[in-house]
Amino acid sequence: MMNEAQPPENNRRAHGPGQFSLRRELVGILCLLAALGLFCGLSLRVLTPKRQQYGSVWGMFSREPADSLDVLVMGSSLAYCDVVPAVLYEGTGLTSFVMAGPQQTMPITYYYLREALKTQHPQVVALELTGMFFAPDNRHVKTNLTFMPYDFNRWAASFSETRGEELLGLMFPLYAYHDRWDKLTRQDLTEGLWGQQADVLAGYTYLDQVTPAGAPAYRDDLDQDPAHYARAEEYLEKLRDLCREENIALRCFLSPAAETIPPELLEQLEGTVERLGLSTVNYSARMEDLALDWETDFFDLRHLNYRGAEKFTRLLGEDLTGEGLAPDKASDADLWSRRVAEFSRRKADSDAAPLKLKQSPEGGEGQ
Amino acid sequence: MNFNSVQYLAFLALNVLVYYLLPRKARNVQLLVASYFFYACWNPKYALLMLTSTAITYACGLLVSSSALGKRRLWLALSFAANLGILFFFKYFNFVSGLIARGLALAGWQFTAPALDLLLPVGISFYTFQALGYTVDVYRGDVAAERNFVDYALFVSFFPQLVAGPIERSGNILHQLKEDHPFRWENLRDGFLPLLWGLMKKVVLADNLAVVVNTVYADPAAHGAGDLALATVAFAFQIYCDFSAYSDMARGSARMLGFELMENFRCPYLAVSVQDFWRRWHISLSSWFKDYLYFPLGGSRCGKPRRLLNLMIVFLVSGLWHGAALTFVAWGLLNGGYQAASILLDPLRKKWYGLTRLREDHPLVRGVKRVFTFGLVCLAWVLFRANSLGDAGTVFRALFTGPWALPDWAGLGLSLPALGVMALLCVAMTVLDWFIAEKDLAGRINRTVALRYGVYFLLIVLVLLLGSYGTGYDPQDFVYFQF
Repeated sequence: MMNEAQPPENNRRAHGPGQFSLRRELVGILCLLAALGLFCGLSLRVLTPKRQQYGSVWGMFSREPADSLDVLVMGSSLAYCDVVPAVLYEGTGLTSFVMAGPQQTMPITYYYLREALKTQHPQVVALELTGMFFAPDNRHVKTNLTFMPYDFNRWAASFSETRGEELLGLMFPLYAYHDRWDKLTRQDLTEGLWGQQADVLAGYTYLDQVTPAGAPAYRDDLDQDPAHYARAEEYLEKLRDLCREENIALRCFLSPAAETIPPELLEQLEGTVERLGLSTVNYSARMEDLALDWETDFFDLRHLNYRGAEKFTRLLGEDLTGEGLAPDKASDADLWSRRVAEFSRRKADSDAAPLKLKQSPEGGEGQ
Repeated sequence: MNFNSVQYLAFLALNVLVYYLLPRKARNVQLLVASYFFYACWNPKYALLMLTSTAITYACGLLVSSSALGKRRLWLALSFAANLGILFFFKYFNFVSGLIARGLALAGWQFTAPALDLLLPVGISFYTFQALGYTVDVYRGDVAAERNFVDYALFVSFFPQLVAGPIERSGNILHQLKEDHPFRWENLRDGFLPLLWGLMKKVVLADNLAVVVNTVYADPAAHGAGDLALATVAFAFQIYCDFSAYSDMARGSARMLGFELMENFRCPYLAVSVQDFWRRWHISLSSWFKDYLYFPLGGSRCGKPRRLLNLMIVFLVSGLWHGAALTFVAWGLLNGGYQAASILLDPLRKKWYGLTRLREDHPLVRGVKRVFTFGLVCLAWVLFRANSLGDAGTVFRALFTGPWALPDWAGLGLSLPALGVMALLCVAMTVLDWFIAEKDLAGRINRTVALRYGVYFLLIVLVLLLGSYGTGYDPQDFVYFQF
């Protein structure tokens, strides 16, 4: 008696438990990699600290409506402590955002601009130039890069500007932040999963403490290594070229400060600016126009507090509009109203309160 | 190169790949080269020392086997003298000369103890005992002397178990070195799970618990009884997770190459007596001492006083094996004392069970015995971990006289949520270890693809999220590397 017809043996592979099946293993590996990728992505969103102020506020910058900024202010803390987008808007109607970072060097500013141009196309990039003299291995490099979106610009900047453990932590953020799991707050969870809100100060860091400045002086902490400066020049040139490609005007400036760049370095900088066909405005040389109160308008000897920042921003706005810049972007009027109101509220509160003297004359975060 | 490093995983993967690509004749040579490379990563000079020890025991094995000059015992003694001499020189010289100096000072004589500034060769205690065990096995006729130097050198230096065991027996390994190990998918699969499990135990549990232990034991006098009790229990789990993790990873690595290493731990904290504990903890060392020291001394075959003395000698030597310090000697003697007391109290214990009509194997009775045994073991761990006998005394005083208060959660080095998670994981790990040992859990997991990859995912996530690694972390060596 013939048995029931059976398919040929080699078409009927029964993989019992424990038997090797390449197909099943490949599926298992792929599922494992996918699950791990999902886990790493989600956990990183939650575990990475959220930057709220002192620059590098990429999470909040990403909430800006696309192509809504007339001016992108870039550079170091001398940008995010000294330029108030709400004041600029109130005085000129120009929308702006301060996309800067603590002690940010020119190479990092270049990658910042590349990243920002993914969602914005400003008329002007206002670049604070003190970063030409920051050492490339300063302690804020990691802060500048950690909060950038995890994409090519961040990888390129990380490989270019960091090495060793710092690079490892930037490329694999879990390496740096996995141990924050027991310090997470509800805000970490909600912002990690749903993203941060738009910045009510548009990248500006509100400072209300006071350091009576006394007489002007020169900074003695700037990096004077010729190799570092040459690299900064190289990236300033790249910034210039990138702006030209994107049809963006690059306006360089130096924020007003009580401690300024020494004359020999200033001369070197002006030579660079001229060689690159750029122009720069040294606001420390326009103290009379600024009418700063040296007793009350400085946060420390290098940064302005809210009073000084407001005065400086108004002058900056006049200069920008004097060059023919006019509002050109469809902006969220409600958002900007809230920004103006927020700055006004904080200013009113600070004006009503007694002066808060800063404990140390040195800078807060960054330079 | 630590097992819990990316470099080791890459090293292992490369060697497994090359091993299966090579013809059979070349494989042992490849493993030998890899093992010496692995050891040389710690210190190239000490690889020569290991080679010297290997050459001595190899030669002595042949001489014992051939009864050269009619003096089998001479060659056995030579092997012991040479290897223990090397071990003494590197590990015990400073300790002994310090003891002599202290003894002479007590007698009123001034003596400046010479001190050698030497780094202890990693794993010297392990490979020395492994090689000595071989010599005794040849002397007893349990194994034939190995004539192939490559095979013998590989037996001594096999990288998965070289620096922290298990201390293998020649009867288990030498024949495996002669066998063909064709590529089998099951070996890779069955080796990967213990590798990952061990990595999790080391990086998540042992290294995190070490933070609490190191914080408290650095200055016991500054901590209350609650802190000290918590840190002692934490140390019990730290050392278990650390050491068993190494053994798991060693066995997993060897399995991927087709080799079977001996089990080294079997749920020691579920032991119902100290004697039972030592049948479950560092099984390879306990059995080595049993076979090569306890039994030759007479074991249990002599009268009770001699039996107790044999026990104390074995545990004294065990304590010394672990370290050249009085704390380790005291730890060994305390464990010996526990067993001696148990033997002496055995008649009373039997009488008590008879009177109460309790069954020794009743689950409640076993539960109480487990808790009591764990307590005794933890008290012994105080000596093992303390930086000095004085510190150990401080801990004991606090534990026995109080004042008792809740631990100072903020001052232990880990946050309260982290402590809670570690506690839960320790319990889970203990339960899972029991299932692995008693119910072939690993085998069941390995047989189901979906379950297996689910377990891989869970273990990797635990390592990624809770592991002790990253910026600012101090990589913790395996605890038993210092032995």
